[in-house]
Amino acid sequence: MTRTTGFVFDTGMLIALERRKQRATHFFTIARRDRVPIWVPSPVFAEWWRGRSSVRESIRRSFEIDSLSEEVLRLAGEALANIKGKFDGCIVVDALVMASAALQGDTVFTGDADDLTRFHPFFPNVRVLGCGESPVRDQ
Amino acid sequence: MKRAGKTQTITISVDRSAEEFARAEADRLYNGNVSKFFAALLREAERLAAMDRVLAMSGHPPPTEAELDALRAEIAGKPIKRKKRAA
Repeated sequence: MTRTTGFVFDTGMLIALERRKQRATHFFTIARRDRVPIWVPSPVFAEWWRGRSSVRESIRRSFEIDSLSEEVLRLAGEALANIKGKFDGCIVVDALVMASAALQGDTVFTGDADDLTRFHPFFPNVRVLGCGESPVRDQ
Repeated sequence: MKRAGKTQTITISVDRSAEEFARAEADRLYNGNVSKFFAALLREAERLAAMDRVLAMSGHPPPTEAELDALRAEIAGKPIKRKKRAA
């Protein structure tokens, strides 16, 4: 599917929806009412998906998977080069989320906005909104 | 490059004007591929139905229009308008 502008959900947002958190559900209501496309970058999908459940399958059907282009991968790598200090694998996914949103002019919905706003010096135009849910999940 | 997924062939009946519209949209958006046009319509219908299921499962009452407007303003990065309190 052609990548269009819309909302980008990260793992924390998907988990918040799964856990029926009110703020996440309200943002989701806006996407439904205003027919805003929802995109989930492919690494986020792998980070979130833990097997089929009724609610997870319905959430899955509500978004498109963004198979990231080389342009996004390069941009994310350049953003990571600007981050000082050591970092773990999770930050790579965060960089990909921000790079994908930056190229399309999307708004990002996340569990913990601080994880993503550290990229703001590199992606100043990406709007990041927290849904109040940490991305840490049960297995 | 993407691998083509498995597809099924179905026959549908539409009136003349709907057919003309479908062909024109397929020309405009999908290089004349009418199947792709209908597949996109079905995918959007599937997506909206899935969203309705997620919202129904949430157990939350629907947000009010004022709540939605406040969230839309937040998304747009506009200052949130708050109702004045009665004196």
